[in-house]
Amino acid sequence: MTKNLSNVNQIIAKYQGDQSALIQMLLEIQRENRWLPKPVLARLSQKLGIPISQIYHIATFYKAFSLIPQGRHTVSVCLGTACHVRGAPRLLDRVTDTLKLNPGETSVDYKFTLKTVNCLGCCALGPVMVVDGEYYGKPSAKEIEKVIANCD
Amino acid sequence: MKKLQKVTLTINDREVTAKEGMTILEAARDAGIYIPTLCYHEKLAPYGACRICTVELSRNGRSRLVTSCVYTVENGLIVKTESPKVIKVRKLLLELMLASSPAKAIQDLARQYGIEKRRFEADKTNCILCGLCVRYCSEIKQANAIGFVGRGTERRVVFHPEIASTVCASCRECFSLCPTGKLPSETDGVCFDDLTLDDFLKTQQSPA
Amino acid sequence: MRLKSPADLQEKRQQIISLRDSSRHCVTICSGTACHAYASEKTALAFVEEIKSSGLKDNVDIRRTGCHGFCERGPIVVIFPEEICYLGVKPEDVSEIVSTTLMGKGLVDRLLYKDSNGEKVVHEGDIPFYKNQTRIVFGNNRLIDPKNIDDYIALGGYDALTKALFEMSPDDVMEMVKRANLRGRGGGGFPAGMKWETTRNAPGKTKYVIVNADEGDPGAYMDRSLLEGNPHSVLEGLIIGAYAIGSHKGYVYVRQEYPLAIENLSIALNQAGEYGLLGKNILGSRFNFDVTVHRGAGAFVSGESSALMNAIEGKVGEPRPKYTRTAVSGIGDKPSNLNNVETWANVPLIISRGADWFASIGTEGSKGTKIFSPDRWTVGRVHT
Repeated sequence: MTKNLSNVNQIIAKYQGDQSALIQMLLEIQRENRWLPKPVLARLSQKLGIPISQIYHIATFYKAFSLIPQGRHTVSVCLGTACHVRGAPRLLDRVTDTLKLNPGETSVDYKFTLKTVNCLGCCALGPVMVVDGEYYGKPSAKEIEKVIANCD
Repeated sequence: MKKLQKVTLTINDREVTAKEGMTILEAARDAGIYIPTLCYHEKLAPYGACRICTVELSRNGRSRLVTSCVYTVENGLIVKTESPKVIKVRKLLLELMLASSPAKAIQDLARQYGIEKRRFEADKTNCILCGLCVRYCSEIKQANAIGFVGRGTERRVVFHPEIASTVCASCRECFSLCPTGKLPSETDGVCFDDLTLDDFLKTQQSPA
Repeated sequence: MRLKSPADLQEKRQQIISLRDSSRHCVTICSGTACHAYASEKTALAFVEEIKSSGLKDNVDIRRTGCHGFCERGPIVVIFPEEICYLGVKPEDVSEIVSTTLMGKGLVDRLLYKDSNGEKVVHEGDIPFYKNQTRIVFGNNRLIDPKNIDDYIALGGYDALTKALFEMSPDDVMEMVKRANLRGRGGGGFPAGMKWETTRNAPGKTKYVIVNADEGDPGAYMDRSLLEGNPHSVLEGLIIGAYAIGSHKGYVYVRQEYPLAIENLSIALNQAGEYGLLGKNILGSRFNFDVTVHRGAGAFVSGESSALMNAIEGKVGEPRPKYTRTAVSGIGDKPSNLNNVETWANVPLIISRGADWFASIGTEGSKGTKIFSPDRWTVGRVHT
């Protein structure tokens, strides 16, 4: 936790304590920790002079943020319109079967988090699955299993 | 200090003189013209949450519906506060709110506008998200003990115990502002019985 | 190396061009998000390896370019100067391409586009998908590496900015954009020049210009492709607009679901800054302008103008309830001009080629071109 808090100080310094950069700071904290721990938000509130209620409002407003710990590997399935008509619901079924997780859930060993997203802008590949930033278009059941199995 | 200009507009066929910078709602109230509201409070910045104060503006044969609590007066505006379009909108809004809360304030307005149908499934939140509590705690008390979380249909109001436990017990001024009565009836003064931030986060984990 | 004058820019361009031989083969590999998802980087690396091991390293250039648009058939490889277009190129196809096309003068038929009659199409421009398009805004994507400002400069990039700063007054620029009748490409279609003028005339010295790259409509990825593939075209337009409006601070709001666009844009901003095309005293014109990238965090509603500005202020990205125009009262209640990515990218073209040229394209009420993002189930927006 001390590591988290000292990281926060660095991030705040990087944005010169500018309140308007709050969302950017939260994005960096989310990326580093894979979630937004409450003590970290309390420290942000204190250092930036922003009420904690406002920080929680922002943290729960945007999909990119999580107030609960997430897995080391993020698996996202796009459910945007184009992917939807190309079979995204079926892809999601295959992914939930493989991971044994429902969207929004994190595995008990904190290895995987499954999310749904709306439109990544590569619709010609749809339906799209993203694992740790790597895009997979129209993955077969076998490919899904292989990609998941390769995550350490 | 710059002298505020006078602005002349027509509300319900009556000429009304307002001051520059006033909203239509303020101008109407000043002139004794009734426009219903639920989320408006004269001490707070207008928020436009409930939309009950919707009115119809006409100009050059075209009309549009606007939220009177946030629309600034202009010379020559023609405003109708109870036109058929306005009433239709208010009825739908009230019907939606009734699905969230059976509160007297909403029931009274529903009766006033002749709502008979209840087509929407009840959500049992007893909250119409008017934001009076959140805004009052922020703007007037500057305590920020209570706030919004979530977005869209997931939006809720929660207390933040870090702050609430130190200030709410001796304040509770938001209780009388709450149009649904949720605040006085469902909180111990520090948090809602069944809705903390952690409760809210648990609901976010469930599959869509 | 900081360019301190228009003459420096010209000199730099000559220098870049002199080091390039356009008669040499150049293998371009599309590296937009979609082709990247088709593992175009593996294809690119395979070319690097194969060209090296075939002893062609000093005779063949390799360039990773921005999105070509034909995402369904990626990875797309176009070989210049012949403009031979190969589709769906995998690493295992590379050695055949090198030996057949680069070393020999042949074609790898199976990788060419085949039309509905089974006829093969060799050149990218002849493929039906592209044939009827006039790609004035998007066309350079396939020619430049978005991570290399020199490619943009070599094609004439930043000449429009030079013309605006040194040969035109802010009023001249404003009038030209108004006469061209450039309408907002984000969907609203509001005349850009009119919005610029409102911002310029609004009271207050501090004004902002903003690029709205929060494209969230499912199936729409025009802005993604443009920002990833040719970020300098957007940046150049933004600086010109800032000059016309009297703004010295710009923001680019990019959705965080577009990491490659964010990356390429950030590289572009750094490189433009190093060259003195951004920052203080641009090209010695005494015009100062700076840009900050603001990443979104996953909220479609934040693409609405006032919501976007709230987000830039660090608040919740929700629309403002008030009926005020953001051109008059935007970020921090200061006049703020917001335009879409594609709108900004049209600006350098208008300045370079003139309002009459721009107005000669399009319909009576809607001038210029529009980028579409079609796929098998067509989605996109049409200007009428």
